[in-house]
Amino acid sequence: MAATEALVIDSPEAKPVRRASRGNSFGRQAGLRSNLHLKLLAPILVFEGLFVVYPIIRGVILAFQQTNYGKTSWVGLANFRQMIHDPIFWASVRTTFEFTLAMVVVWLSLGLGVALLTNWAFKGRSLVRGILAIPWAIPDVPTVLTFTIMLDPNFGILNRIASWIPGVHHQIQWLTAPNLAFIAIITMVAWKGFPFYSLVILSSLQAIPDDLYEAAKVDGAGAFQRFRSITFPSIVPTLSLLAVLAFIFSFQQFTLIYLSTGGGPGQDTSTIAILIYNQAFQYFNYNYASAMAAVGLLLAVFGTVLFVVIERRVIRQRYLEGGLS
Amino acid sequence: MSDSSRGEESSGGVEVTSGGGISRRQFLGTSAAGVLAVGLTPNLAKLKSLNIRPRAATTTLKLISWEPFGQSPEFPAWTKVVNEFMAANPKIKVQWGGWPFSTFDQNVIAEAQAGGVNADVVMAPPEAASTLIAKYNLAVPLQSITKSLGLVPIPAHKQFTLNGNLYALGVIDVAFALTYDQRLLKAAGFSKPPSSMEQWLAAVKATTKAPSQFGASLINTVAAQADWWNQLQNFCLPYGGAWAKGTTLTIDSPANIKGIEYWLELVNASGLKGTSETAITKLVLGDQVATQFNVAAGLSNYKTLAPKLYPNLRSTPPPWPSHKAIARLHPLLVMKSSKNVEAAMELVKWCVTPKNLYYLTVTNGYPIIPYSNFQDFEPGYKKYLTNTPWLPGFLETNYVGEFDILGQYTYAYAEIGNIIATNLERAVSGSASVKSALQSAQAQAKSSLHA
Repeated sequence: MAATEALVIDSPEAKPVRRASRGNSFGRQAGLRSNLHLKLLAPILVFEGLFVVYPIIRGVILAFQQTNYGKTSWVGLANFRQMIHDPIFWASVRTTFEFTLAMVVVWLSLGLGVALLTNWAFKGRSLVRGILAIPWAIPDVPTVLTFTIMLDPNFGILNRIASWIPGVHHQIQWLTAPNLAFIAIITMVAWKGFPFYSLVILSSLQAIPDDLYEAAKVDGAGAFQRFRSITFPSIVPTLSLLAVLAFIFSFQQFTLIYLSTGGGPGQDTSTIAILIYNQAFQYFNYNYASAMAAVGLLLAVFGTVLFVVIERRVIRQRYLEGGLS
Repeated sequence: MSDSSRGEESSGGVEVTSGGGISRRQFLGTSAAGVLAVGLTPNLAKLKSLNIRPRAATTTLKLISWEPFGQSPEFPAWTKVVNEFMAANPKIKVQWGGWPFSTFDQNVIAEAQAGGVNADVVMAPPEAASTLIAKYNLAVPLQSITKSLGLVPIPAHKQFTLNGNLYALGVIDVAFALTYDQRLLKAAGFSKPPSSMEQWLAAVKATTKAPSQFGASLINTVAAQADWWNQLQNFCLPYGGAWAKGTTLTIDSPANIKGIEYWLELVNASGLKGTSETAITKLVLGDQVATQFNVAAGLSNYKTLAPKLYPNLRSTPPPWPSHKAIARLHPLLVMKSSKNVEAAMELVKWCVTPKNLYYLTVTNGYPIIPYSNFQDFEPGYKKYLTNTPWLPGFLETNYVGEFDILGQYTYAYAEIGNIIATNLERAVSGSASVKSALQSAQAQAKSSLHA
């Protein structure tokens, strides 16, 4: 339709005919076209407004209120004051940041390692890439069930293997001992998420022109030098984007942690997401949970902005604006 | 799609709505009516001339429960009883609604906080019932029903009693006792079930032959926190403790510390420390666990789920001197906000009428009927009790309710449980003592509940 119209309009003979036949309708159509983007955007704007923006605003308002049996009273900063004096909240903030930073490092390292390995040309490479993507495709619940069985003190494969090591107590409590539970969670979440990072990094690696490597080889650059001077600077933008995504994904991680340790032992694996869930749906303190969620949102935004700033100022200056070193 | 997100489920031709929403059928019906109304508007004048008589007014009651969800095997029996009620009362229509059990408390309490529960009759777990009664004052007194039927509620009903009024009537009694596999105990040289705490511990030690056989199935991981707490709450009773008395939290009382230390000894001896609930359940059903601290409701399902265990399944009262255990009464309540309180009370009365309650009990395997004189009304019940070989221990147990161990904090059942379980896990893993874990739980609960 658009193509036909363009032909008609572009034809010098047709122009007067068109103007004569349509008259003011052309102007009307132009007006319609100028509003078209708004009309096309309207459904998504309404959807986002109703189901994303409104709940966030409502959640923030709830944080300043106390609701009881339909009676809502304005309590100002009382919920936030309670939060400031709540050691469990601060323990959760600490756990969240420890977990998030650990995940950013583990996901990116693992993703980069696997991407570099699968970027090599070898027989059956496509099959290996397909197999490596499987963890990402498995839903959370089967993942947790598989890991809890693998980590079971009595029947888990890990303890069977550990029992072969001299001096190791074979009933290691992977999910209930304080430090081990945290490591077990990181392992499980890393396993589940690394294919995403490796696939994105792999696509970035494949975009690097082979000429660069050929030239470097001619200049006598070894494998490590080629990685340091060509590969890494080329994938820095991808890595920095993935770092932000890893931060966001790990910050909001809930299912895997809740189903495997429930936030325990003590508060050792209780992230802000777990604490908010417990406050809202175990303790029914919806207002206090909303206050925590509002602070959690701020922390997530702060963390994301921090990552972006670091990415722009430090990494870009060093690897991109400073040229390939 | 998760159970909780289902708008409508069809089960045995029964219309079920989820929570406060409308069913698909209602939605379609309303839409069709709307379209019809628009189409008919110009013809209204013609309609006036027609002689249309209004139908006899019917009262619609909304009964919310978890029973219609998650393919509960108990739902057909409930459907039958409710359908019979509708047949006996043609002017009353009962519409089922609710949420799956796992999210039932959250949804009911969220509605209560928002201003009222959108239902006429509520089937509730004990802590949700206590919350609706004591915290939100939403229920209607129901003692007139038990009086008229001549039923004597068991003392566990105390948690539903406020200012002399009984606000909820138990229909499902989830009562604990010590159950055991007589085959495994006999093989280990025990001719009788344990009747003292020392004997239970000795039996657990003697029957544990990891990794093929274990002495006791005591849940001990926070990942299964709800079920852990459900079982663990009983272990304040061996030395006469309680988690709270009135409005005073007593989580770290000497009696509780001793009780939990005993529990931890059992866990350590059982060989199942740190084992997931899924694995424990599999072991139990596979006839590989000698003793369990279990609830009677659902044990009849073992006939099909655990065919090797079922013939050897027996029960005995908890081996501590008081023989006390928790009876978790899941009652029916009538909401004050109902526009049809009388009809709603009729429905509750129908459900606890001995003939119907007996039918529900026998069909669904809730072996303990929470009315002490029930046998006087239903002779079949006495026969049922005698003919079920795993029941006697439950009948000899002295039952107390949540109020007796949680005092005024019954409404905070899940919160206290979560706090105790997360702290106690340190003691289970050996990184803290039971005393320090309970002291830290006490401090945390105090600051959380008194905030």
